[in-house]
Amino acid sequence: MTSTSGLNARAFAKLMARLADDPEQAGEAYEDLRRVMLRFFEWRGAPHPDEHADETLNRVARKLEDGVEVRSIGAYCHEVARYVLLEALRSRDLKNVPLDAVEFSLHADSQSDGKLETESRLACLDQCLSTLAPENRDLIIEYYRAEGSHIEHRQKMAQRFGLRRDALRNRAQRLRDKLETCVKRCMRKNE
Amino acid sequence: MSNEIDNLATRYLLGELTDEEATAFEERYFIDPESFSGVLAAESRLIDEYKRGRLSLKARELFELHYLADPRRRERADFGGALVQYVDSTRSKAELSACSRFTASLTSYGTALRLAVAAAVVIVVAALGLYVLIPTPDSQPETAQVAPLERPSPRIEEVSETPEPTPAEAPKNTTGTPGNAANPTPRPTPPPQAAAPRLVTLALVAGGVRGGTSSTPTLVVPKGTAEARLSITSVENAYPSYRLALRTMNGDEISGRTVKPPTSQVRLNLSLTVPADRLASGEYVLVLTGVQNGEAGDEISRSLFRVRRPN
Repeated sequence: MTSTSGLNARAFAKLMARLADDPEQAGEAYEDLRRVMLRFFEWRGAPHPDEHADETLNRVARKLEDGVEVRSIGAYCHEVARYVLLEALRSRDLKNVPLDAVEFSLHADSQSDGKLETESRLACLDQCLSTLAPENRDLIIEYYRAEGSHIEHRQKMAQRFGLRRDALRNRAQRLRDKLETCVKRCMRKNE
Repeated sequence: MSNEIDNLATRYLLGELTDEEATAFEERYFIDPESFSGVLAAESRLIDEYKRGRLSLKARELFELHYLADPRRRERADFGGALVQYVDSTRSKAELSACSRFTASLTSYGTALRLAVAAAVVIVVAALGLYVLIPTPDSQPETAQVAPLERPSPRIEEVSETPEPTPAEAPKNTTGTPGNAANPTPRPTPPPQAAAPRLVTLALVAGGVRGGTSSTPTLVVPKGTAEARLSITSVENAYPSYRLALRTMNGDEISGRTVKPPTSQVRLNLSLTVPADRLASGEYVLVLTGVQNGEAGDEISRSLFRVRRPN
């Protein structure tokens, strides 16, 4: 993939201004957009989602700086992200890794989740949960517990927490993502 | 979350959308935060249901072949497995705690009752201790294992190389090749003991059906057992992937999984772990099929076995 990394302050400011007038809101919108891109690249099986997301944001910022007119920032980011994805996949294919080798490593990874690793992950999860505020810890445990009808269960939860169901879902998902990141870091530290 | 988004997101994550559909859906979730939240929620739900063994057969196959094909997504699924295990065990602890409170309330009735409860506890602990410490011929059978539960999730299937199967894991393979109508080697499980094992296992050699005889392999599932692991050993590695399915004698599938073994391995052990409560007393068939180009093809073996659940 052709790298266009390195972004000047003016281009970055253009992007932030396009996302929101208020700098704080723009910062949040930037993080949200990056989160969407990360998942997009992951779900599409791109090799380095972090790098691709940054590359996409950089390209979008440069285009804005060049004066390209963008109607929908989301749609435009998607278009650029697709190009970045195609380049990344093409670049990976050019490395000409034998298919057998790829399949083997994928499989080997999937089977490496042995008892020790599971215990280590649970210990990390326990540790990460303990860093959450008690209210958030209760929320995530209760939200993902399978009890009868999910819809009814979560409706009751939302009422108890004084949230709309969508807001509860988003809060639980953000906590889950945060925990996942924490557990990943903990596991790498233990390696 | 609307059903439409949930449905699209599920199909997207399972790789069921065409490229055009996927691209259109991606543009939608790039623009609309609610759609993106819907995909995230669908992903978490798929992972949790997969780890709890609640996905439909088709969804499970697609999840394994598509979603788990990527190492980052597999890592996310592993995290989901830990979370599910944690929250489910929290519930179990809450139930145990309720039980303890009940016991405490009973003991508050008087010293005599307290002593009786204490005596009962001592007897149970002593019985458990004897069970653990004294090896009996029955508790160490030649061909069956009772192992501690490794993971609560039903996704405990493994593919592993077995150049030299150990006596505890695999019986002698009378034919050495799959596809031959070899009979499964009987692998009895231990009779029920004072404390129920959490996991019981039964290993069968790839081969044909033999049924209704006294030598039919029998899996004894004591009351309180959490999971049962069924293995087929010494499978010749000749297909891109394999499907292992547990069926009733009527042909109804209870559980199954498709696995893609490494090409470098000559022989495989394939296993399938199912919640014990799905197995009633009776006869079952473990069917092993070779899968090519994503389609189930040749049936390699059908192994009949019996489940016995003592009262």
